[in-house]
Amino acid sequence: MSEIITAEEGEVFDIELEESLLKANRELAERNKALLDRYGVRAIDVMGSVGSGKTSLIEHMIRLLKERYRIAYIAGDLTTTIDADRIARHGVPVVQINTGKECHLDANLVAKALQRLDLANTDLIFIENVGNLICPAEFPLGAGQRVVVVSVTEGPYMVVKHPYIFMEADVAVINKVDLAEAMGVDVDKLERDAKTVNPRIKVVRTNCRTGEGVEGVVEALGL
Amino acid sequence: MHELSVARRLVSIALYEAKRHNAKRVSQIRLVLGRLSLVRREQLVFWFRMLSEGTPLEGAELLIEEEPGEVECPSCGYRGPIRIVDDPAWHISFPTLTCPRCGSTVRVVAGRDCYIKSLRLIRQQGTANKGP
Repeated sequence: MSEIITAEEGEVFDIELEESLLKANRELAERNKALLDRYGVRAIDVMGSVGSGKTSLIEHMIRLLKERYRIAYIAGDLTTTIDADRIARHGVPVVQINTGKECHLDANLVAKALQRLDLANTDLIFIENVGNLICPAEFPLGAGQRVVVVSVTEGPYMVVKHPYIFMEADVAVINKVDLAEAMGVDVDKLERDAKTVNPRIKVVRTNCRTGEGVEGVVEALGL
Repeated sequence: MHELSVARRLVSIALYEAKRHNAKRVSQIRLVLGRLSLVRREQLVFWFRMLSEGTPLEGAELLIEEEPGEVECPSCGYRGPIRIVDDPAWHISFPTLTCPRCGSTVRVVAGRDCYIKSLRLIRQQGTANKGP
């Protein structure tokens, strides 16, 4: 694997490595993906800031989809089970991952969570990432699709300030659009920003308190 | 914040290689840091220093070379630097996956990773170089 290029006996020598520091997670993510594919399970990684509406979005998607798919949910949170408890009320299997102090889920934690689920009897898994717009972009989990949720209450610059997560995502959800006027945020501009960063991204506007627009997210994900 | 996990990985690889090559100390580590990765140089160096204390890595020189973001366009064949959008109204410039030539979506081919390029090891005196 490594090659010694200079060596002076008993002295100083260099070894070349080309060893990635990010590869370990990526390889585990690929393994998760292969496992999910083997069981024909679709997994969706839902990312976004704290309070952007990730859990509400997932709750509405479960309501819309639970007759058609056998759904499971993996919740990432630093210390609480608040989100997991909310989702458990919808009668779907829930696995909680408490990351303690980690700012993101990683592929290893998700691999452990997948072991707890009955994959043979599951069609669709929502993985709710830790509320954060930076670190999750660097750590793919093996989900087939990635959704990023931003809300207008986070201000008008959320997309341009966090371009990397929008590069990684397949669908961007702009939530709390009912508050756009009160917040003085131009939703069209947010949408244009997302498309500028990633022309392939699908943008959907929602109000996840009422569920308005969530059908659009389901459609964008091809569910 | 994830620089801690990246630095842990760096330390464990370097210690593993040092041991495998029967080295007493690691005096230099060359890293390549992609500009499109989300690893911050300062934080990585900080965590490396913390984690290497009391190990054969302590005091090693950390040379970090930055790798620019490079993309490839499947539509028009463009290959080159990623396009950076500069919005003077906001004083924000940000990278975009829009092809600078034809406007379709590009693929990132370089600048996304962070990897160890080489290690400089100091072997214990009097030990033969057996190689890996």
